[in-house]
Amino acid sequence: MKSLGFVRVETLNRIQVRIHGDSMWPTLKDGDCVEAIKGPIPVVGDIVIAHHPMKKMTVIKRVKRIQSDGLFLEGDNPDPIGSEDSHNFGLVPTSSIIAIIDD
Amino acid sequence: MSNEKQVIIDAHAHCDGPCGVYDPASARIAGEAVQSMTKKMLELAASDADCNSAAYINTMSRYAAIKEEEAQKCKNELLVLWTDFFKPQHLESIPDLHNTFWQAAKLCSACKVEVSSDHAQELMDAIENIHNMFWNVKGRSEISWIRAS
Repeated sequence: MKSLGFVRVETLNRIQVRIHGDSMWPTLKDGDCVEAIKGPIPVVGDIVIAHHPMKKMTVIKRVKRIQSDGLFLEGDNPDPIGSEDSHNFGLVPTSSIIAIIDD
Repeated sequence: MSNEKQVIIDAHAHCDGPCGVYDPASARIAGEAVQSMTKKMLELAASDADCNSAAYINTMSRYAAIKEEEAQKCKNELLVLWTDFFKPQHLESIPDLHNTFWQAAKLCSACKVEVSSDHAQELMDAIENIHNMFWNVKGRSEISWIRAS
């Protein structure tokens, strides 16, 4: 599996995100590049970049619910097995959120 | 230093569970077995063998049982590709995807209830078509269609 992570220092606010995979289809497609902003507190409906809770991997998903113990993240792909997300790996702690897609 | 410089990260938007290993070869092998058993049944029926002998009945029964089993296996393998590997986004480039799998699955059923060399060949043609669809989606169209028999 490909190594993931920041290419340059993390202290900058705006980051370019390259998408790998189709779990955010049709909103974002494999190979798309989008801009994200570090810092804002996510709200329901935001697309966020987060650390995978179980793997050394950065994921991109949409915030479906916000609970006291974490965020429920979900892919946009309508296929029930079209996204590995909180249905599989559970809630993601707020501290694991890296950035929010700038729409 | 500017705070607006951009960094690049790779974000995974993964589908699928932990395995993710798919290959239409599994369906192709089962389909070939169906075609082989169909051919053997037709050849045996056309032979001079005593169709009332225990040996004939046993052999023909075994051919039929294997044909039945492999046709069901082929259908299962096709259904896994259809429902697990292929995703809604693939309909953009393969608009007849659903009909292709539907017809292929029906051919599996036809090969079970019949002894038809025509339908056995049509099943293999359908699997070859799915082989090409699959590897094109994977971006590996150079994977050529092969047969074991």
